[in-house]
Amino acid sequence: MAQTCLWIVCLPILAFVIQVFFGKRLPRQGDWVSLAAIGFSLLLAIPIFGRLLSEGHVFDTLSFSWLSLPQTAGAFQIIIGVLVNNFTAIMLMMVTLCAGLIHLFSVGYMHGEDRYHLFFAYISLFSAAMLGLVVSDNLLTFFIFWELMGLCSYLLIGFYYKKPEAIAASLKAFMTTRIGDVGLFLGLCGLYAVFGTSQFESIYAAVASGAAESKTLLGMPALTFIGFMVLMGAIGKSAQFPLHVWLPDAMEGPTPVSALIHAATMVAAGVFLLIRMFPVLEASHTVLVYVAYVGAVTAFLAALLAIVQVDIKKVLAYSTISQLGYMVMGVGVGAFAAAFLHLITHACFKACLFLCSGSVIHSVHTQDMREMGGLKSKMPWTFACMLIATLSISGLPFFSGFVSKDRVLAGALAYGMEHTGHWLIPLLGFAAAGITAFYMFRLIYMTFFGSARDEHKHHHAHEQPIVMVLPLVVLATLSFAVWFSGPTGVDAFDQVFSVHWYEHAVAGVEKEMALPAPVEHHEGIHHVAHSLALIFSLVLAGAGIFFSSLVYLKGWISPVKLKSFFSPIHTLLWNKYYFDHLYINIIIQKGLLGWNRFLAAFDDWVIDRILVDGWSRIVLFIKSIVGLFDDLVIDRMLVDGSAGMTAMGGWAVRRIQTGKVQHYLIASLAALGFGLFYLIGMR
Amino acid sequence: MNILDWAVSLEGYLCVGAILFFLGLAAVLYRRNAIGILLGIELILNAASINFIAFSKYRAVAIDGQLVTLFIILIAAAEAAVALAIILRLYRLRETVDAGEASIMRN
Amino acid sequence: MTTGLKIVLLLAELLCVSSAILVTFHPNILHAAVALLFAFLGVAVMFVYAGADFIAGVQVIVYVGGVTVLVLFAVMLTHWLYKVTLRDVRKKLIVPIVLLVILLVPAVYKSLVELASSSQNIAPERVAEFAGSAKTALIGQALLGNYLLPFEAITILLLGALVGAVGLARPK
Repeated sequence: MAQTCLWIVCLPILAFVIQVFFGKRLPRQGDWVSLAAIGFSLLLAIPIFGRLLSEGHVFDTLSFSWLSLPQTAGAFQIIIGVLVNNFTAIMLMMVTLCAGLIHLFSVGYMHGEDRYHLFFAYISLFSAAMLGLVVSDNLLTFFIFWELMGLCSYLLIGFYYKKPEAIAASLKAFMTTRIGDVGLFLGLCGLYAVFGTSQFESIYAAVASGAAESKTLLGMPALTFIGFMVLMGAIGKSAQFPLHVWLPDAMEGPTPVSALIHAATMVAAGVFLLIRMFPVLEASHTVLVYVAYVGAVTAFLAALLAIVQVDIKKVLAYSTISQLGYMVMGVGVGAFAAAFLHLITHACFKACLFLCSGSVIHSVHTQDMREMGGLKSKMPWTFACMLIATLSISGLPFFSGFVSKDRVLAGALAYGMEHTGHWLIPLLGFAAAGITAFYMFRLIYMTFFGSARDEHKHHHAHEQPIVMVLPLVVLATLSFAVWFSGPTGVDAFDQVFSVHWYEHAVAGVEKEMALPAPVEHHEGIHHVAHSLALIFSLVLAGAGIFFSSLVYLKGWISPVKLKSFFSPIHTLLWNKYYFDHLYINIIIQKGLLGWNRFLAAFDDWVIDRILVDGWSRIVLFIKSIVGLFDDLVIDRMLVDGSAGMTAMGGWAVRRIQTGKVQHYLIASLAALGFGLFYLIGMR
Repeated sequence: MNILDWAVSLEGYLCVGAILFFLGLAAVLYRRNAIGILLGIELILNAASINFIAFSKYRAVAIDGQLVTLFIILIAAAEAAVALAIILRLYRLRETVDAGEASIMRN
Repeated sequence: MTTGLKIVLLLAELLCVSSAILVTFHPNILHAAVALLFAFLGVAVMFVYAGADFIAGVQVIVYVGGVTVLVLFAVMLTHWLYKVTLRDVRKKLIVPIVLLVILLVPAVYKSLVELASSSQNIAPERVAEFAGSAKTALIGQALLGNYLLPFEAITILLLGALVGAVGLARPK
């Protein structure tokens, strides 16, 4: 099974290599190579997932020593390998399925674009990196694939390299995530320092044994340090506050890329990291609450931002940040199983939403929702799929978002009830749920309902070809709750997706993580919290949809009046809480650039003028003395003098050099003769 | 001592060797043709060989002289090959094999 | 050793000397080369009488079969054959040559005589026994024993000579 995983990872890499070197010359620019590679990966992933469904548990590892330094103290060695557990199986299934569908969608969406083959090369590489990250059994290769994904993200955001905004956005994404990556790297170093390994299994065992609790690193408990560093990595990659600024800008990339990388998979890698490292976070006792606050604040603030956006992809981008915040919050409150489920459901419905928006954009050639409207009849399939996904993200019953989001919120509420000082976490979570429903329906209403605001664009709008509609339909189907929470009453279906398959999967993973058993009296709180959360989230989602309908469907409340009423808040939101202003105008312009200028001046004056130039003066002075000495003594006296001597000697000797062999021979024989006489004379 | 006994004695060998040596020397000095010089060198080498063989038999009573002779023959073969190659080169360059003409190294 | 065999050796020595005279003084370089062949043969016969039959074989193979043929080739390739004149001498050098011979002959003669008489007399039976014994196996053992280093050096030398000769004689 672990070897199958290696194949799953290697096939897209192979496709990448083929595409980069031969893509341009292949028929159809080789899109079928990438498609076939991810397709085969999907076919290989299905049996693994199927085994999870039928047996309730999969586990396999494969590892080998990459580097071994027996001479060093502690016999340092790096073991890398593959870890397949229940979550890996689910992730493999989700990633290959989403990536495969988005590959398919791209065939239609990117048709006729410049550098078509490179696009497929990049997303193949990206798929390989994501799959590699998922199957990694240690944080080192996890980090390598993590960086590889960052590179692919950079390349794909800047895919329209002729657009200055795209270049700026790609740079911003790369640099911002880099801050988080530094954290993750420090965490990795910390892991090696504390545990001497980065293998998840070994770390789980070491944490469970309590061996690492007493160790310290840089003046704080080692586990806390590692936990914060890991959180920093997740904040960068999953676009949490305050490093969220890159994700909305990343929407400059092609829409399939936004769907795959900046919604479904890569940004979820940060959450996946937190889940993989959950035992460490929990054992540190302090980190989790920060994780929860980061997630809750992100979920709420990003949701607010989504309200004022007019660009359809930006709305979805902030929505993604908000939903990622839910996941992080879920991990933070200890409900990592809920967070993981939300990761999976979110991947499906958010990919669907993005692809639908891509379909719309491809059809009307604009991303501004103010120029859309009334597309319901023009694009029925897209509308239906997007509506399903929207219902799902809003958390309505019978949709997948309801299942997962409810669990996350229940976890948060339980946490808030247990630790009454942290009541803000569930509050922000519930508020975000309501706002989510509001802005998502705002998007639906502005795009598909009402009258056409731009007749020309509306006139040209049309349903997309089958390669683009098919992925939408598949992903929309996956946005129903039945896949995750059964039972449906249809026997054949229930046999495959048994009611509690996810519970079994979580139980298996919890056992591997060797988590301490939950305290008994919390069970009651959880039960109460679950019921309360169900009611709250339904009421809030309903309220959000109702309010949205009032404003954007019926027009009973004018959006313009609303805007003027909330004018200061709107300005704040429109400027994205001035985060970009803070980063670019203050930190970079005033802080970093000033420091930069100071360093440049220091370089110029102290290093260049005083040290380098001053030194060069001294050197020049010495040089002139040495030069004089060289010229007079060495050159004229020694060099020219000896040359003259040699020339005179040569002139003297040249006369006996006739150049004739036999003359030399006679001379040497004469010498021989005299020599012999001398020898005989000695006797 | 009659002449036949002298012929098989050490002195006879040495005498023939010496004559061959001087004739070879004369050829080396006397010939203008580079090939002729080469012939003289071969004679000198053979003279040396004769001496080695003779002393090997009559004085050392061991095979060491024969081994040295073997090496002489081999070196002579190598030398002949290289020398003839040089001569052919010279001929191609100068249209002559006169050793006296081969003085371009002068000046 | 029978008288007949001694006569053969004497004839071989005479052949050596007379051929060597031709080698040195024959105006036609081609004839001189052929005379050298006979000189080599005479030397080979002398080797046989000195108990060096293996060396004699090598002498015939290498000199008579190899070097002489090589020389003949060179002679013919250089067309000297058609330009043969009596002027193949260095008249200017005759005086120094004569002086040299006067200088060298006594020196060589004296040193040879001293060498011949200096060492003690060996019993003639031992010499005869040595001459009659089989020595090829001993030579082989010596080549891979005490004389291994010069043997290897010679192989390198021959390789170098081969490469060098090819490199020199190659057109352009």
